[in-house]
Amino acid sequence: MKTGIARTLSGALVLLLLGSAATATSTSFNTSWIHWVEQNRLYHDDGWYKVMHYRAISGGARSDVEDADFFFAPAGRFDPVAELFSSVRAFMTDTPELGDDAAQCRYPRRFEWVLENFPEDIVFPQVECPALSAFIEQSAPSGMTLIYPNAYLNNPASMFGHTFVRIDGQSEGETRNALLALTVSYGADVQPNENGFVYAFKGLTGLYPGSVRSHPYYRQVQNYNELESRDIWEYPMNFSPAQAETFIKAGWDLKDININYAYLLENCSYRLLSLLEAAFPQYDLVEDFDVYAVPVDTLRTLGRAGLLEAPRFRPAIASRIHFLAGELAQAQVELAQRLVDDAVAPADTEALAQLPAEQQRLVVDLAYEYSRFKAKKESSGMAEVSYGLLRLRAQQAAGQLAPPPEAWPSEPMQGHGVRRAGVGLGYGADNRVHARFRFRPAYHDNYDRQAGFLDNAQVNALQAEVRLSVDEDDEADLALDRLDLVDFRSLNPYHAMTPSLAWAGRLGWLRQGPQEKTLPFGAEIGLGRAVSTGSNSLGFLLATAEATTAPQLLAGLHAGWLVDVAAHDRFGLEARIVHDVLAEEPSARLAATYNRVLSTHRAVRFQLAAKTQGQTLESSATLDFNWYF
Amino acid sequence: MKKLLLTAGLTVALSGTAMAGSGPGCGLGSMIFAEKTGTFNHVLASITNGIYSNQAFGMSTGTLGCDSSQSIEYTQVAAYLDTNLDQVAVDMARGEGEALDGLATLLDVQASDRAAFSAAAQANFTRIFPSADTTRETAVDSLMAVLREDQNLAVYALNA
Repeated sequence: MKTGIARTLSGALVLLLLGSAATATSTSFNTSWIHWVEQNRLYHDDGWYKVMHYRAISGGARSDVEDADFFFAPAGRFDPVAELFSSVRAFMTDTPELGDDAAQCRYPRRFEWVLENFPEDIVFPQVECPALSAFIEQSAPSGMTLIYPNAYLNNPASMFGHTFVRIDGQSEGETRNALLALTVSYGADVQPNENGFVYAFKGLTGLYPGSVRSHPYYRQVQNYNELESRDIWEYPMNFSPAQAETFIKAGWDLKDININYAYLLENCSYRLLSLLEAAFPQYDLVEDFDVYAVPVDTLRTLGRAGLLEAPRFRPAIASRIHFLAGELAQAQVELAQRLVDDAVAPADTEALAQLPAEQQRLVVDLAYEYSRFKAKKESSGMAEVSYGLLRLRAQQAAGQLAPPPEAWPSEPMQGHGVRRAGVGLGYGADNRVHARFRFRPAYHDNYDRQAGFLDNAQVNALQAEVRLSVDEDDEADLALDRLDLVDFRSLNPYHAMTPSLAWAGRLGWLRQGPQEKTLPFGAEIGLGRAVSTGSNSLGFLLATAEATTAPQLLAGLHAGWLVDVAAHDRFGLEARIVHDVLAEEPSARLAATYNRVLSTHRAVRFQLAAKTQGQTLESSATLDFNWYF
Repeated sequence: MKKLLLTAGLTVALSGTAMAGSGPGCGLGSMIFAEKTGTFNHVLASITNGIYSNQAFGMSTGTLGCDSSQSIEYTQVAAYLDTNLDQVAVDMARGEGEALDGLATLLDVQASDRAAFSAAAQANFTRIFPSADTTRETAVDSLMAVLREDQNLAVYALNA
């Protein structure tokens, strides 16, 4: 880390060294580009910083890239001045024999930026880059699309979605099939058989190596849509073919280069923004993020920059099953299920043949998708069933039904803001009114406005609740009532073809009641089932187990009923019965909650609760005003 | 006229990294409805949103083990189908679809012949996929035979 004066001194030193190292070319030619750099202070240009992923830090600059291979200067990671001189020198001394190993070929975006910022009379050696050219030719860029696979609750790093770029291709002037497009994405390099705890620790602390990779889009679709059953949103980007090629070069600069992955901030979405900045330094994208970068927020940054258009929806296998089931009468959905569960038995194929041709096609299509979904759990035997269904299908008329735009869910940017702050009043067992303040850095719960989020998926991280009360002696008291590390709940209604468990998990500190002096730490899990009780309501029942440092060891049941009201409101009734194994004491709690949506980013929430504690019955009420940003 | 999607330089790169394949050409390849990846590796890879791969900027063909006797088109078709065989199979059964269209693109089928291509695939489904353990190699060979029998589509058959 160097001060401004030290930087200039080091620049001058480099200048002296370069000037004195006589090469075959004349001294005046050698120094002319150095003078150009110095006169324009190119090493402090915002574009240079972005191309090299430098961030300003106290006392100087530091590149996000940890890999020494990325830099030509010895301490290039911290020295934009020396790095610029060393990089240009490397470009100047490239020879055609080096081929793909030439500096110009390994760092094409960096070289392109240098060319753009140097006068034309400064000439660089001409070098062919076969591998880069082949890649660009195969991708045949016509534009770019931002791909957003939806959140996936089964894996921590996927709970907030993912982003990467697809280089759209053209073939003879027409848009080429999207599956064949090449993609550019960043992710952590995980060794096979990595221990789960090691992964969690390294991922959170930024110790995982990470790299930029490219795969054909069909591999991504197979992975997200089919294997993980995640819907994909595709946002066309406002970039020209030439800009898409520049973006490829920005990704190529980082090919085989290590940049550590950190789950909270320097994750896939953040790195994608910095790649876009490296390609297009006129945009400031990364500056919106300092502590953490949530993928949907990076979409919003791109939206504000005018870079995204309305998205297309690519449904996952489970979504396609639900859509097709919705197009058929219940009896036919059951027939589709029997076709699979009874391995295409003659009784079922005969029943199928009785249906009108159009419905026969839908039933077979639904049955096939169900067989593939079922195969995820029990692959043996399903191959024959899937094959038998395809044989049936091949004899029917051509065509397939995809969900039309009207049937698409709301796209992620339509959702409420990722952060929620709340101010409210509460009336508690102490028969006093208190004020309360709540803050949740991420992400979404079962009562928030649901549009744009995964259905019935609650993901709360670091939610905090603080109470301000005034006691009998008129003394004000500020107390932390709750701090969750994580608080998850998935209440997907059971669907016979896509069976899932309802589950919940919470880890954090929770005060049992306003009178309680202690704030015990606890862990709780719940497992059970949710069922649809109507077109817009669901019920659930979970068996729960909880351990706290109070100490308490609790086992119990948690039941609830949630219903959508009006356009976006939600009402819920939840009851809990737990038995404290250590204290031999049962207790029950009943709560009614209503979330009234005022706008996408504002809501009011009212809750009435009653709790038994031994012989006493305590009731409470809270009213919160929440806003999301 | 067939258009190469890759330059000659890549052919050199491919033959240089040929791994021992399980059969001639590009090996038998995957079967339809086979489990695609080891679940544990997959889970970890998806945790970090990276499809686990030891190729940083690799194109799809490098890990197939195709030897240098294979044409680039065949190699690309083989790589595509090894990941996508189920999707192409169901599109063939349905007589249309994006995955089938992707295959048509790799075979350089002209826009005016795409409908005939899809129809021929659906009509010959059980010939291209005779059983639940049809391999990619068998499916490709059968598809080429189907194409050669159609006077309009014969021009697209690969000589593999």
